[in-house]
Amino acid sequence: MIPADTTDVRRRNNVHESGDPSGRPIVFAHGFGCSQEAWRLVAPQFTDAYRVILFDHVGAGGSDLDAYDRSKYDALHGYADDLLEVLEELDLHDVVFVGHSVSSMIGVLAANTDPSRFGALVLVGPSPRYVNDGDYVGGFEQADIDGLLDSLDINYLGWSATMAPVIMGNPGRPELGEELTTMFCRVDPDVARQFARVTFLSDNRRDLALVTVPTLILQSSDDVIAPLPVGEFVHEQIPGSTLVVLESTGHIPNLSGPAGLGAAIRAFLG
Amino acid sequence: MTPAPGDYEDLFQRAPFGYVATDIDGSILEVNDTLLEWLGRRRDVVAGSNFGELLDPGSRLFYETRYRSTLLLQDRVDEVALTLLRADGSTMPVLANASADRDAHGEPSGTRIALLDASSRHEYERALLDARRAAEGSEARSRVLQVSAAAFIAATTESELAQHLVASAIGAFDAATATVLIADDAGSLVTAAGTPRSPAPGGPVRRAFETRAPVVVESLEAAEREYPAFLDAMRAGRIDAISAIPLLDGHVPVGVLVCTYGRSREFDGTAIRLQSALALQATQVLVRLRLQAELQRMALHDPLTGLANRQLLHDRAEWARLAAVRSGSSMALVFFDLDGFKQINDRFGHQAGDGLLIEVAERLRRAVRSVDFCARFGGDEFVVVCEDADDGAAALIAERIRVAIAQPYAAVSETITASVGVAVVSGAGAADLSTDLLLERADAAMYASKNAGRDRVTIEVVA
Repeated sequence: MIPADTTDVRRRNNVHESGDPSGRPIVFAHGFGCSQEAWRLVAPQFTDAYRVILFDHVGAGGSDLDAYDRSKYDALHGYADDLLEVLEELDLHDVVFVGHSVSSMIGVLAANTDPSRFGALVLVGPSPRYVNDGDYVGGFEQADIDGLLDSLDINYLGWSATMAPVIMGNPGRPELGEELTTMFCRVDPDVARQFARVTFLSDNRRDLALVTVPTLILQSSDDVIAPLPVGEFVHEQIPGSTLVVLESTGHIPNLSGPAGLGAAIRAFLG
Repeated sequence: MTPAPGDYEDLFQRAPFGYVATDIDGSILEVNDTLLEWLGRRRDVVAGSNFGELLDPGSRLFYETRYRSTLLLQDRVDEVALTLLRADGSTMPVLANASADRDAHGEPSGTRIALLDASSRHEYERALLDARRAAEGSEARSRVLQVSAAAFIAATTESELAQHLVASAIGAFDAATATVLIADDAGSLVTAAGTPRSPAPGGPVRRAFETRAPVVVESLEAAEREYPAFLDAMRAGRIDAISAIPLLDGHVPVGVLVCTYGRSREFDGTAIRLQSALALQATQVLVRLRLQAELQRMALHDPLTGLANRQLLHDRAEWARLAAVRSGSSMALVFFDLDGFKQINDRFGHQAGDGLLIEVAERLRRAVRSVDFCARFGGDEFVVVCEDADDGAAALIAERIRVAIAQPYAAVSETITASVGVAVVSGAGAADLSTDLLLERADAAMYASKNAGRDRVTIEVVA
């Protein structure tokens, strides 16, 4: 067998470690629209006792854009495979996986593929399917997802010209590098378009019942992206799961209510 | 009315732009009259609601997932296009600039958002976007077809062509797997090329082949309804959707291009047309390759008996001689001529003669080893190339041929026999003589049999 190239997986997913190297590993995964920076107010709450691992999905943040493969990343399985490779690369066991938004489903898929790596799943604002389907209320219609794609395109229409050189990297112009460090939630427009489709048009309802890892569902009290009934659906489908409704509202409690989010996770882990 | 100096309330309420302040969660704390007017909503309804609820669902998704993360992380976002949802159900495009407030600890505590009416700009952008999408779409399609055409044409074998088609399909359709199945002579679909984890051909694939029309399965639910027997294979293979495009030579199906997808898909007419165009391109090359192979076969084979002709024999004999030199093992050429064939032709006619030659070729194929190579040298002369054969083995083969030919024939009442000559050469000896010389020696041995009374085998060990 060819040994996995250490630097490749770490570089590909821009893996960063902090905290107590001998502590229990806790892995944070960002959702659609941002990068590992989304955890900047939550992750530090765990560095005292945990081995904290942050990473970017390929196509986002500081990941290796050359690793972006449209065929692989046209389904969440591609991202789940990457996550498992990161866990293997760092040889992590009994992992606490904290996934925001779409990453909660990526965590579910990864944990169903190889439960032996996982000790707990924390799903922040999960939705197994965003588009309504018969009796199932996901909160959106197909046309709304098309509207999001329009929003992305219209916003990148203005951006792409100025964003492109920054994203592509421009060694000849160091002042652009300066700009790079202040640019948050960087994502290549083409990647964003495909990731939006994959995120909002996937259907992972069937995968929930297969989860065997202890699971905490963290639901904002007023989340228009993943409303409470969706959180309750996830809770019903995942055997033995715990549902906690946070005080913060909105879809990004990791940024709008980081203290409450951190406390809820710690309370679950004991 | 011009605001009085210092009347900041009026400046706020009647500003020529919408203005809101929210808390950290996006709940609206203050909103100005201009925005309320645009929305057609009352202050008590809007205050306390979430800013995201003022937007149409598409831009609400964008606002929640992309806009707010960025805003809270970098304190500013500028010129973001959003769409307001009015009370009467209509929409209004706006451009938003926003800044985040921070509390005494430096943590973000709220946001201020200014909204500019972007109706006219929006229409222009919308038109631009539609035009760009259309252009990109057709450019992408023609690029796919162009690049693929170049790759297909360079293919020299069916398998190479199938591999190119697989690669093109993966690239063009973001498919998780692609497989090209080609029908064999019995009509069974056999995998010619495919990516790992390609599924076994099943219901939708067979249907595409049989109906000669594209077949798609857009979701597991659709599979459950239409191809229940195929559902387990789909689940096991992480397949949520399938497209199967027949490869058509005119109206004749010759294979199927199958793509699988890791999530449910909706295939519109454009997508299927592109897949079909790609399949057609590949099929045209496939047909050409088959025609070429057929022409090549015809150029090197005797049309009557289907055996190799003299040119191909020469190549194979030369190839066998060089192989003998390399391996050091001996080889043999078996040369035979039918005794009295000319009289048969004269007596029973050419048609009977041809029938006889076909029968001889059949018997010859059965008499030799599977590794031996049979050719019609011309007229009623035949040659067999036997690799890895010493004088003993060659004698056995030659004798089997002689006995097979001597059996009675259906086409003619006369008995036919063969005069057989064998030239055997060792691996070392094969290096020092030409293939032509070896053929001459086998021919000479055949004449020796003929002169000695026909219906016999003469073996000459050449070197």
